[in-house]
Amino acid sequence: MRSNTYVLLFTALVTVILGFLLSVTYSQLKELQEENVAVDMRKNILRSLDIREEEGEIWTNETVQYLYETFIRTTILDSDGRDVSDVTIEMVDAEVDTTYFPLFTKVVNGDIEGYAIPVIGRGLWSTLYGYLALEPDGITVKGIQFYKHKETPGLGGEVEKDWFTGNFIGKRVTDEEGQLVSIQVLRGKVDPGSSEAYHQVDGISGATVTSKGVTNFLMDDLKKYEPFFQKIRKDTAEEIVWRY
Amino acid sequence: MALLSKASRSAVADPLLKNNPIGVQVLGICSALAVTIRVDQAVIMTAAVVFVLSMSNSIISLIRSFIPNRTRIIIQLSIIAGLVTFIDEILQAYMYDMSKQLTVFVGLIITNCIVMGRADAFAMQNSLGKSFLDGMGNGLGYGGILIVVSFFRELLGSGTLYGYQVVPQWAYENGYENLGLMVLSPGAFIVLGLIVWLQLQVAKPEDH
Amino acid sequence: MKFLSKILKSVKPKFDEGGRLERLYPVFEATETIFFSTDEQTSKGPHIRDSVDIKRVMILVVIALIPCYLFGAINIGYLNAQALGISRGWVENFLFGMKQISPLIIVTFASGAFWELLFPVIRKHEVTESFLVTCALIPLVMPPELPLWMVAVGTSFGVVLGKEVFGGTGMNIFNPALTARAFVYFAYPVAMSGDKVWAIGPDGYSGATALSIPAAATNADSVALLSAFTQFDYSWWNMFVGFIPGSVGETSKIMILLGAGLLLITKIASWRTMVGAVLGLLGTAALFNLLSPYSSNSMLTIPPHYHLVMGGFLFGTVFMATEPVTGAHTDRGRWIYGIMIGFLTVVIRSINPAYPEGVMLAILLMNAFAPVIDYFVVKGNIKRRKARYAQ
Repeated sequence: MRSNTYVLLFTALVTVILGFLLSVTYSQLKELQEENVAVDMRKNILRSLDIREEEGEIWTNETVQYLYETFIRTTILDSDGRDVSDVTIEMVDAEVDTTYFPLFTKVVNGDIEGYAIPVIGRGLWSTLYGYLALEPDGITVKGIQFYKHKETPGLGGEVEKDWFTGNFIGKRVTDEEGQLVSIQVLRGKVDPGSSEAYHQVDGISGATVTSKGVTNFLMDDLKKYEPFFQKIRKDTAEEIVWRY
Repeated sequence: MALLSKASRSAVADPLLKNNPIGVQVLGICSALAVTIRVDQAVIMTAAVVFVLSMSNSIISLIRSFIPNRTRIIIQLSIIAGLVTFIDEILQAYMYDMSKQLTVFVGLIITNCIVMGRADAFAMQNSLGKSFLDGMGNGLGYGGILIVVSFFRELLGSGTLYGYQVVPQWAYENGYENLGLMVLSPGAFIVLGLIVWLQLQVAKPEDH
Repeated sequence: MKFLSKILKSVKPKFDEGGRLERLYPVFEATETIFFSTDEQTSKGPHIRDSVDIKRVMILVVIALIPCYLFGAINIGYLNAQALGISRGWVENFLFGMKQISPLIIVTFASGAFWELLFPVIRKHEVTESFLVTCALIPLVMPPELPLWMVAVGTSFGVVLGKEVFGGTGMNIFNPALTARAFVYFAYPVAMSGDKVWAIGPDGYSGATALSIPAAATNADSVALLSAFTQFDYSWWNMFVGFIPGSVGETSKIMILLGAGLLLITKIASWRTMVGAVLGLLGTAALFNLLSPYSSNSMLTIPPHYHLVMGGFLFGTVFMATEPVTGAHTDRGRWIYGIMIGFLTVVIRSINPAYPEGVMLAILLMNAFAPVIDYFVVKGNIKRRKARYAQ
């Protein structure tokens, strides 16, 4: 039987050594890990704005950073759609924030090619995270990308598939009077002859609740940005300052 | 294998089939359900478990004569937890996409009964070399089952293997559909059950 | 019949011990006893009545299912005619429906029989006929347009993993037909999912089932929603009669009640289970009605008598919950078992966002609990008897 002092000292020693080794590892890898998180977010923003990998191509972190820095400008808007320059993207959590909203603008050679906004909301089993991109007119959908969810694979999980997201492209989020109508995910297929078809997309069969959830949170999230997009549509947007 | 003595050989080979940690001892089921949807996830998980098991066995065997009996479980656990955290950090830094999918389950290696079991039951009594081989064997035995289960789940559930499309497009056009059940957790239970059944027929362990 | 008996007698030696086809004896035995009642006494499986062996019991259940089949076929034809906007006679409707479901029946029986003959041959015991009931039930709980290979996979799963792995007839924990349905339900959710199960017409013509209508709306009165629905007639009476979309066997409550009558007269099914399930359903639904003003969930507003005629509840209760092997075996246990099925059906229907129909999951869950219920009932009996004789 060993003495209490030995037991305590030995256990403490093991803990200290392990703690030391782990903190060394952590501090060595921290930078790389944070970069990964940022790159992942940026990759999804790029994809929603129709900058995506070719078939079989895999982007390195550097490629993503390069593309993002070349084409994407970040702005923070307040609830009136005005640019707030003293808030940075790190200070905003798109999931919970109700006063400041991040906006990602795609700029190619000085021309605006689209705006991406984060869309987040409940599906059936989980919260879905994604980006919705509009064309520079503030009306037409440029693309949508879901990157995190826990819906049933094969049913609600289909939201991330190209056949579903592809249907959004070219749809319009406002009606003829300019009222926000958002995008409606139907049950079943869109009737091309319907007068509502311009803002409807095919639903996922067997995933009514997920489809309904997407419809709801797209509307909610678009509403937050409506002041800004209204100005875009009327061509009266104030100059916004892009921060890199 | 001629390099190894008979005893060391059986340290590696036994857990692969005759005394498989999942199939025969039915340990570590939780992660076997979670990470077997796709083969690539199962392979990474296998690598992580083999690393943690062989390293924890080695370290514990190395210092076994210094470990006080009264706090041995805590010491084993902190060594294992340290190794698992290490693996998790590495994955986050170098294989971010994989770590996003595995993150919770890599952490759960700590509570995987196989790791603790081998540390306490084997490494505490055996030499460094033997403990290392035992850890390796058990890790591979566990991983082997993971990979077999994930093979069936990915093939039947998604029609792919290691991310590559295997079921041809014309099959889908002619009405074939993926077996959605396989991507849900019960699918793992069913495949695992069938494997255990088969293994009991082939390996005929003594207790059964 | 004499002729048949002669043939069977002449080939029998080949299957007897030492004969060339000894291994296939179970196949022979099964064929023989389908046509002739055996002189052997029941030695295995559930003992129901002394003079009635498993085979006769099973045949009676199959007979009880026939009205459901007949109406189911007519209903498929009727709904198809409605979808096409034409009118058709009863006979034509029936023939159309039969054309739809007979491939289903054939595939189910073929794949069921394959496994049912394979296992006894390997295990060297006699073929039991419970697969007749299993296979007769499966087409009644599947969508008529389900791809046939899915039917085969589902039936195989139900028979092998629902029954054979546990040791065959009399040993199974779960109802094999329901296991098959649950498998297909989770394996091929797109083909089976609740909101458009019964594509009975031309492409794209499918309708919401009665249960999925209130499930899709919030803060609404379910009866008002149902009567406002124009594609199908979802009045209480019509849902009772059965001209609504639904699985082949479940739509007509009248036919189910006919079958129930036969099962009760012959004492094959337990009236306690049935009554218990109905009471459980009515009670829970009434309770939910009381709670409905406090929630936006429209499923809570479905009145008890509507719950009774919606979905597959009655079919499941009459033909599946009462299966002697997987249900509770004690009288008091049957009450508890039945009531819990009714209760769980309403709970799953109303509170779960994903599955508008709950009876399948409710029965499977209670199958798992039946032995526990029996255990406590028996234990309770022993305790009471002890207390009685203690003085």
